[in-house]
This record gives sequence, C-alpha cells and structure tokens, in this order.
Amino acid sequence: MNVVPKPQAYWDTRAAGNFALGGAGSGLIAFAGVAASLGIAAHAATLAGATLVAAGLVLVWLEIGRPARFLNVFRNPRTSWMSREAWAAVLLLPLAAAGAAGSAPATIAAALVAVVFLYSQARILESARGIPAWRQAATVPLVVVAGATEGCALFVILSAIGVVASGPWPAAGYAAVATVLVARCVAWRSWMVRLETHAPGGSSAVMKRFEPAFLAGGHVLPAVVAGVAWFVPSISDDLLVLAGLLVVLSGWALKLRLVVSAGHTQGFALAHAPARGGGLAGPGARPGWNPASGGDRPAPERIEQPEADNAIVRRERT
Amino acid sequence: MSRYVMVADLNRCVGCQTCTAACKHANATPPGVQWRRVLDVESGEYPDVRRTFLPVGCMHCASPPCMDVCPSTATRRRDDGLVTIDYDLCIGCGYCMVACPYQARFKVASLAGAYGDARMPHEEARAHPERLNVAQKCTFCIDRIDAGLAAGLVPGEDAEATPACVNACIADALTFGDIENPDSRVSRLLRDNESFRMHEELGTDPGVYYLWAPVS
Repeated sequence: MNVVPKPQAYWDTRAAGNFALGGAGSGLIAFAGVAASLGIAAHAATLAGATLVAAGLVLVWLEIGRPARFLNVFRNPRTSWMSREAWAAVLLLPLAAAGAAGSAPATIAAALVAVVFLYSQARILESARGIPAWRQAATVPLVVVAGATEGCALFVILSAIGVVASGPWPAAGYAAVATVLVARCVAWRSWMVRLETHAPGGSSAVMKRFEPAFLAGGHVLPAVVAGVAWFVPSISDDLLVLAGLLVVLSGWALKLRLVVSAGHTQGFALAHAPARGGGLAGPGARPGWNPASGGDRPAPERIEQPEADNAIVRRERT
Repeated sequence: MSRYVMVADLNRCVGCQTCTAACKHANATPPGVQWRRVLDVESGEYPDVRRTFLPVGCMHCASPPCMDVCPSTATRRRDDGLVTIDYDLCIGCGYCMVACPYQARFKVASLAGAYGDARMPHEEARAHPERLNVAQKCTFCIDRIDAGLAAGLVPGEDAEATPACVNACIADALTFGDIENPDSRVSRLLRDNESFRMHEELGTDPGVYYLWAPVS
C-alpha cells in the first residue's frame, strides 16, 4: 500500500466532462442573459448553453455506480453542493428552454440560475477535503472564472458565425474577451501559488508542466489572434472563431488536468514516529509533500523512554 | 452519550496484517478492498531511519467530510459516533471518496471473486450484491456492536461486541471503546500515553487515536 499521495481514481474524464461542459454552458447562458438584458436576442446561445449543461450532466450520470437511483441526488441540498448543483440544473434547464424559445425574461432568469449552477460546481471541488489541490479557497474563483471565460468565448464564436446578433460588437465584445482572459490568468496564478504550499508535490508538478501551454495557448495566443482581428476586419470573424476555440479548449484542458491528473489524494502522515525498540520517539513524516508545504515536520522533543528490557539486550549484544 | 473510538498503539503494532485478514473474514470484502489495512511507513534519512506500521481505515470522524458532501444522505453519523452508509440510498457518485482524506472508501463494479467471475462456494455464500457500485468502508463491525449491546455486552470489553480487527490483533495494539467513559480502556490508554490523530488539522475530528510514547 502506497502511503504517498497519488492521483485520485474515483472521478475520471466523465466527471471532468461535467465540469468542462457544465462550466462552459452555464457561462454561455450567463452571457446570453447579459445580452438579453441589453436587448440583444441570444436564443441560440441560450439553447447551446443548456445543451452543454445537459450533456455534462449526462456524462456524470454515466459515471455514477447506480444510475437508476439518480433521483437520490436531490436529497441533501442542506449540506451537499452536488445536490445544490442538481437543483440548480432543474431550475436552469426549463428556464433556458423558455429563453431559447424567445422569452427574454426567462433568459435573464436562466442566467442568474446559471451563475448559481457554476458556483455550485466550483464548491463541489472545493468541498472535497480529501483532495488538497481542490479544497483550496482559490479553486472557487478559478472554476467560476474559467466557466465565465469559456462562456464568453463561446458567445464570441456564435456571434462571429452569425448565429447570435452582434449588438454592440465589436468594441464591447473585445473588451469582454480581454477582461475574462485577464481574470482567468489572475485566478490561475492565485490558485497555483496556493498549490505550491498547500498540496502534494505531485499535484503542483502536474500543473507546472501544464502551465506554459495553458498560458501561451489559452491566453497569449488568443489575445494576439483577437488583436489581429481588431486590425484586419476583413477576416475578423474567422480569427475570432479561432481565438474563441483556443480559449474554450484551453479551459476544458484545464478542467481535465484539474480533475483527472492533478487531483492527488491527501496521503498518510505520522505526527510522531513511535518509540519502537530503540527507546526514543522520532519526528513525524508526511511522505509525498514538499518541505515548503509542511512535508518535513520539525522534530518534536525527543522523549526518553523508561529503561527498557531492550536496553539490556543491546548491552548484551555489544 | 457514547462515542466509540479506536486506539492504535504504534509501539506495539508489528505490521502482521492479522487485523486486515480478520476484517476481510468478518466482513467478506471483495478482492482489492481492505476496510482495515496496515501501512508500512518509512521515514527519516540514512542513517536515522525509521519504520512504522500504521493501521488505517475509516476514522469515524465526528465531523465527517464524507457525510456533508453526500448528495443522497446515504452516509450518516450515529449518536454513538459510528459513520454508516445506507447501501440502498447510495448512488455511487464517488463524492464521499474524494472528500475522505483517509482514502478509507471503496467502490467495486464487479462481484468477481479471488479467481475471477467463477466465485468459490464461500464467496458465493457471503457475496454482498447490495455493496456493488456503491461506497463501502469500515463499519467498526457495527453489527457486532449492536448485537452485543442488545445482549448487554460492553463494546471494547466483551469480544462479542468488539470489532474483529481488535479481537484479532496479536500484539494488543488495537483497542476499542467508549471515549466518553473515563474508565474505559481507551480512555485510560489516552491518559497514560502521548497520542495524535491523523490529519487532525483538516477539522475532521477523527475517532482513531495513535499512541506514540508513554506520558513522560
């Protein structure tokens, strides 16, 4: 039995898919609500968002061990964020359907519930006390901002291909994209700083390897592409689709890494090593954790054991 | 009010895994599932190295993270401190498994035995289909405790009302009892020895205590 933290094996890509699709879908509905409140018809965005949320829930339904009992997921909204997410989905999907059918008030209401849904998803991870990388407070803003960023990028894509009316686009659209990209970058760095000191070395190692591609491919490159689109209007729609796809796919890669690869378990720890045989207690141990994160505990004061029989044995041996 | 806890004397445990075997025998857990297990922890740097045998399992926390996150209310905590799973309510979402900092929960997707799908007669006789695809973990042998209490026995004092792992321990390293009773054996051990609880900083208030030295 391995005592060091290891990647959790309980939630796989299906669970990650729920966080990816649900986050992007709820983010998209939130932006559709903003558009609806500005008088911009965003029926297709609402429909697409609801479809993504539903697809994410189907993925997680495929993961649970007893799918026929899925209604039991609603039983504990008092303390479980998974129950709260389920209740939010029950409200969200009909409202989004009404919004997709043309009701602007329903779209705005769906947007508000979508924010609750997204926040619930973030709290699901943060409440998992067995996974140090997830239980950081910084996980909540990271997941919420990531969902909003992906939703914004999807809205940009739908606008660029003409499915959604552009409204005050392009100036407001560029500003929104820039804002969410900067916000995701800040949330990411804040989370990474916490990860260094509050998670096993394996978790931070995984995310450190992921970080260059995530920042370059998911932030710098889309920003450059969107910047070129700003100055070259003749091909701006194509470039905006490309930039949006980069943002969305990088966000989904983040969820995949976060859930499947970086979710190392707590591992096991000794606060003190026992006074076995030799008569002296020893310092504790927390295998698999970086020294900066408390992996090397300071040695406690050694406690002299009463003169034991084994001391006599040692003398006899010498 | 009682709170049943377990005390593991790290000075005594020799890592023989008899408790592991006793648990498997008592609870008929499938291959790969060990509600009670003993870890072999190496620590320190040469030449000052140490080897510690660490019995682990469900800590029956007073503030169990698994219970808070459970969406189905399948996981509950009794007044006597035992954390239980209702196999008929559990949906097998695995949320409790990522919420438990002690890696104490298991989920199996097959009733296969030690030699595959063709189960041996004793495996067939003691199969637990109700545990399939749902969370499962150490129960502190709750059936023994309840039956013992009903018969007027004292858990931790009478073997018939005590977890199988404790009864089986060859080194008397494991002790079970009511920590709220100052005269219980666990209370006396905790008074006379230095102890710690694993991952206490996470606020779980675990119910397994590790003794590491006599009180000086």
